[in-house]
Amino acid sequence: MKPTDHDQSWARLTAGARRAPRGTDVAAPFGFSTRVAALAFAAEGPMRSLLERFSLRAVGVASLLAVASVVVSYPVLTAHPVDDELIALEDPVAMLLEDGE
Amino acid sequence: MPDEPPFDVAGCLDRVRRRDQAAARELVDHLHPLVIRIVRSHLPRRVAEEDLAQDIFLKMFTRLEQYQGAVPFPHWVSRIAVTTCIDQLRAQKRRPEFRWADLSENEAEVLDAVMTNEKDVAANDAMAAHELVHKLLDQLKPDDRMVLQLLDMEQKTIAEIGELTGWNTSLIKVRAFRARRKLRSMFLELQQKERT
Repeated sequence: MKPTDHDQSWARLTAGARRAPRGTDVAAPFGFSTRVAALAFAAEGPMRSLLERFSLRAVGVASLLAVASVVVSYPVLTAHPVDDELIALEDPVAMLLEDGE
Repeated sequence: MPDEPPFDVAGCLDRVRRRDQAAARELVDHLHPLVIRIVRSHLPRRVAEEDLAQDIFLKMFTRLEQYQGAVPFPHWVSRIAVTTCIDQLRAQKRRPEFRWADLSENEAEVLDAVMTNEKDVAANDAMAAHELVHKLLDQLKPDDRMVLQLLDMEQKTIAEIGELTGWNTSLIKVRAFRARRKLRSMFLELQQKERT
């Protein structure tokens, strides 16, 4: 047998193999598409929707709290303006230094 | 009886993107014949065809947002199917040794016949030849096996293989060359073993 005859052997073998009957039943088995569709949506669905839902709610709640705190604090801030002079006079470090002298 | 209207892939994909499970089921049912044929051609040992088909469909749904419509949808799915089969073949690191003793009587006769005479395989030996081809292909590296399977069993062109696998022409030719060389050495080895 010449070395190239091995290629011929392979060619004859594959030609014979191509004539083998193929599986004719190519339709999806019962329940296959339902299972695959459910798995596909289950795999990508809850994680994304949970993240979306909670992150959007968190942004909403944080915004509301920020606005409410500004509204509640505004009258207090405007009614008692900060007295810079008083703070400067009652500086505890300055007072301690004065006592030391 | 009126002809069934063609399946509206684009419409179905739109519905799937809107998370319509019924559309997803229709898509799976429509593509199952295509996917299962690819799976059956490249099915690795000890892997159930239904499991592999399921993996392919799940990958398809996961990557659906990446599909831009540049190629027909069935081509895009075929590529996912072929690459998934290659990954499965690669995962099987150990390849069983090919021995005369492991062949059925019919397979051994067919192998002996193709190696010693120039007659074609008889029609009633087609199944044995099919089994034998797969046992020989199992001896090759997964990528080389895929190329030879597509070239010699499915009679695809190099361009079609490139489309299915994403490999360039040179790479496919190199893999085919390497696979044929390995096959030649296997035939030679088998001949020597048969004589001893």
